[in-house]
Order: sequence, then C-alpha cells, then structure tokens
Amino acid sequence: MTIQQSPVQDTAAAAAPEGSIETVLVTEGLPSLVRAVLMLLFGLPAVVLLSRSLGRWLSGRYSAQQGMVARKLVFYVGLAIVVVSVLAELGFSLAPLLGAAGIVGIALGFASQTSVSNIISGFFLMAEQPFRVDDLIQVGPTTGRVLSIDMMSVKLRTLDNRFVRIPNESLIKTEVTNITRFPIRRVDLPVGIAYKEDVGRVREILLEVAAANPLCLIEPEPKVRFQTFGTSSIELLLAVWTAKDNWIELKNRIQEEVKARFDEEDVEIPFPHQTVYTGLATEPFPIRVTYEEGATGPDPEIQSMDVTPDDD
Amino acid sequence: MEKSPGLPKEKAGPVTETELPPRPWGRYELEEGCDLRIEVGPLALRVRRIGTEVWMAHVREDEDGTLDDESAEWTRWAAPEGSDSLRLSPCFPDRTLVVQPENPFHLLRGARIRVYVRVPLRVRLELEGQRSLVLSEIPTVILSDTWFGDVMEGELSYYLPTTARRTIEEKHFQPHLVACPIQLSNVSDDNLEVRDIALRVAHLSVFSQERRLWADETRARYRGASVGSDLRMSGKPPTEASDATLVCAPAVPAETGLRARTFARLMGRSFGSAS
Repeated sequence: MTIQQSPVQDTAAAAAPEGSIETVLVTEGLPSLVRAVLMLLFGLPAVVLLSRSLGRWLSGRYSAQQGMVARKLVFYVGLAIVVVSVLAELGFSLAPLLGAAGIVGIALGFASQTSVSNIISGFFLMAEQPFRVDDLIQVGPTTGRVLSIDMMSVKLRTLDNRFVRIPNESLIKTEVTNITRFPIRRVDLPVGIAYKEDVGRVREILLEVAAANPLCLIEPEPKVRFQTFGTSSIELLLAVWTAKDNWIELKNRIQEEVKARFDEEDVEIPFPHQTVYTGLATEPFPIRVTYEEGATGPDPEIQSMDVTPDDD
Repeated sequence: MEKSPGLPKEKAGPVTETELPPRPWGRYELEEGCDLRIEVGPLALRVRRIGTEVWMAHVREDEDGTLDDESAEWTRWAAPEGSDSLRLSPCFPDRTLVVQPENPFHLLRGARIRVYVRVPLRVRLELEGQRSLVLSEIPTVILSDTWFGDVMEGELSYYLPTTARRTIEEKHFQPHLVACPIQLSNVSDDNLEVRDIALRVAHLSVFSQERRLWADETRARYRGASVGSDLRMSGKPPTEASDATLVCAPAVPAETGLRARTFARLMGRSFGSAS
C-alpha cells in the first residue's frame, strides 16, 4: 500500500522558507497552534485557581504567611510549566535557551546571593515562627508590629506609624525580641523614696495601690523588691503583671496612682541631691551672714558678721 | 446535651417577664421624657427617653457608700420605632472566676465538701419592641483581673475573694449576688490544698426563687495534679431551691464530661531580676 502526501501541502511546504510562521502553520498544522492557545486559555486560569485554593487552604490550616508562600510557589511553577508546554507545542526548542541560561545563571547567581539568602532565610523564619503577624517585636533599635512576613523581608509598623522593611537575612542573624509572645507581661516600676521613710509602710502602700487597680493581675501577685541604697534615695521596684494588651495603660495609670497615694500618705520622692556634712569628724563650717543695704538685722550698724556653730 | 426542664423553647436570650426575678430586675416602661433611677446593689442606673433616643448612665457606690450621679457618663442609643420598654435581667460575668477562699483549706483524699460562693452579677439591658435589642451588660461590681495558669499560657479571669461559707442564710442574699453551690470532692491519691477555684460561670444558669438568685450546682472532682478535674454543671436549680425558675440560660452550654483545670497553682512563678 502506498501513501501519498497531499499535493497541496507538498506545494505549500516546498514554497515557504524553513522556520517561518508559514512553515509552522503548514507543516505542523493549525491544530498545533490551536492546542497551544487552548493550553494558555485553560492552563493559566487553572494555575491561578489551583494556587489560590491551595493558599486559602493552607492559610486556614496553618498560617497566613505559609499560605501566601505556597500560593506564590504553585503559581510560578505552574506558570513556568504552562509556558514551556506552549513553547514546546509551537515547536520552539528550549535547548539553546537553556544553554544560554546556564551562563546567565552563573552571572545571576553571583548577583542574587543576597536575594536568595533572604528567600532561604524566609523559609527558616516561617518554619521556626519566632513571631507571627500582629506580634510586637524588637529588632535592634526598631520596635514595631509585624504587618507581613514575606519571602524576602518582614514589614513592620512602628508605634509612631512608620513603615520598616527588614530583610529576612538580617532577622536570621540578629536577636529578635517578641514582646507579645506570651499572654501576660510584667510592668516594672522603679520607685525612689527618701531615706527617712519607713520601707515597710511604703511596701504596703505600693501593694495596696496595685491591688486597687483592676488591670493589675492578682495572680501572679504584685511584688515589691528592695533594689539598692541609692545616692539620693532608697530604690524600690514595684513589679505587677497584666494582660499584654493592657500593658501600656497599666504602666501609665499605676504610676499616677502611686504618686497620688504617696502625696496622700506624705511619702517623699526625693530629687537627686547631695548633702554636705559637717560633724564631729570635721571642722565646723565658717558662716558669714550678710545683710543687704537697707535691711535690718539684730543691730542695724552691723552689716555682716561671722557665725560659727559654737556661737549662740 | 440533654436540656434541663426549665429551659425555654426558644434560644437563650429574652425570656418572659414571669421568669424574671422581682425588682430591681424586670421590665420598665420607657415613656417619652421618663427619667428612671434603678439601683441594683452597689450599681445605680439612670435611664432617660428623649424622642427615639435612649440615654443611660451608671455609677457605683463610692467608698463612703454614696452614689454620686453627677459623676456619671451618659451613653445614647438611637432606638427603632416601637421600642417602648427596657428589660433588666441578670447574667454572669464574661470570664471565668478565680475564687479564692479567705482561708485556704485542705481537702483530704476521699473527702467532699459543699461550699457557697456569692458571685456579683452583671445587668443586661435589653430594649424591647418589635424585636429585642441588647444595649449593654454592666457589671454591678468591678472585679479585678487575674490569671489562671502559668506565665506562658492560661486564661484571663476575674478574681473573687470569698469566705466559701458552708451554709447560706437569708441575710446573705442580695439583688446583685447569685449564690453558687460548689460540690468539691477529692478522688485522687493526694491531699488537695484549695487555694483557688476556677468557677466557669459561662456554663452556669441563673435561677430565681422569690428574691433569691441561685446558680445551678457545680461539681468538681479532683483527680490529681497532672489531670484536669471533672466538671459537671447540673443545669437544674440546686436542691436548696428546687422550685426556682430559670432566668438566664448559660452563655455556653456545658458539654457532658467537661474536664478542665479547676484547681491550679501558678507554676514557674518567679519574680526574677528586673535589671
């Protein structure tokens, strides 16, 4: 049995130059182009749908950032598969492209070390989860709420509403403090009192102030600690616990309440001061009393006099 | 969960007036221009009707026992047409209560004890009309926050000191307090020092017997330090008030076999260094 080629196709193929669109259309046929278009039309939406579904499922099951990473990964991988498939269907060979990509890849590799490091660090951050979105963290001098944990960086909003971007690589290498990791926090209030005060009485006053504040947790119970004998005052520390959301409010209110109570109880909070001492171990200080012109002292004719501690 | 016989057929919420305790609870007509003053224990409510608006303020007793209305702050609501009356009903606080006996006691293994704890209620204000609208829930007594658990995990609760009396008399009942009977039993091999009891009021109901308010009985079985205690809320009026009627269903129906931490010491509690 002999198979003959269609004379029309033979004619068209013989006439068109090799590698041209006409050659493709004629030799490969319209079906190939149609297939490629169909791949695009169905492939792209399928990739988008799959990536979003997976991202939503993972966000609900695990965390928002894991869902986001999965979504982006699936999308870009799927997109690459669709593009390669379309190109292959159209008859374009990727071999030369890959060859060139090898050289370019080496060059890009050197250039993108930091970016790749950030991406890999991002994976480690997501696995380790030292913090989550909406946590309050401190990184070096920067304190802020976590807005998002992305593949390359973490975004923070500072308490005075500035936007800070911190590369993931920095976070992996730096000490990060998660301020709101645990549900309760302690407020430490240094309180200085005059040396003349009764420390036991002041301790009771401080604990009463803490007990009267509803934001201050009864358990763990408030404590007053004797820190040190300071240069100007006795340094105490009042430590109270509160729910993490109430930390700032408690810190403000309880200091005001301590001050108000100290005023009521006549407890002195001394200013920093120095006392100059003269006593048995030293010579008395000589003192000269000078009267302003026109002022009257014990004797109007005396404008000044020297007084020592032994004088009456 | 099996429903107790006293539960209304509709979902927990507004109940008919006959199921509400006597004054100060119950329904109040809100006529145009009215100015009501309602005292519920240490809490005083002021309610006014101005056009379609309802104004409400509240104050609590000062240290000297006076209610200073001048210091009240007003809240206003624009109400729908036909909202003609206000219902005051009692409900439990919105968190677990950590009840601390003034004198901690030891519950020896195999022992059981019944104590009564009086819990300050919250006042639920509902505007009645074509439909019932909850305006607010106001605590009659401000309870202090406390933590039930350790420094890394636990639950934010309210602190309630109590005498944990063994008997309760007529003089102990007040309009803003509900008597909660708690049956404690120690079925473990250890003796239990009862310093704190976590009373999960979200699972409790409020019953009314004349002027007395009762909660259903809580039974806690201590099974050991490493295991949660078995908790059971009867869902029925306690034996001391078997003819009481339901006035407030539990916010969260208790599941049978509820097991939760009820007796706990704060583990890992340390002052630490502040420097």
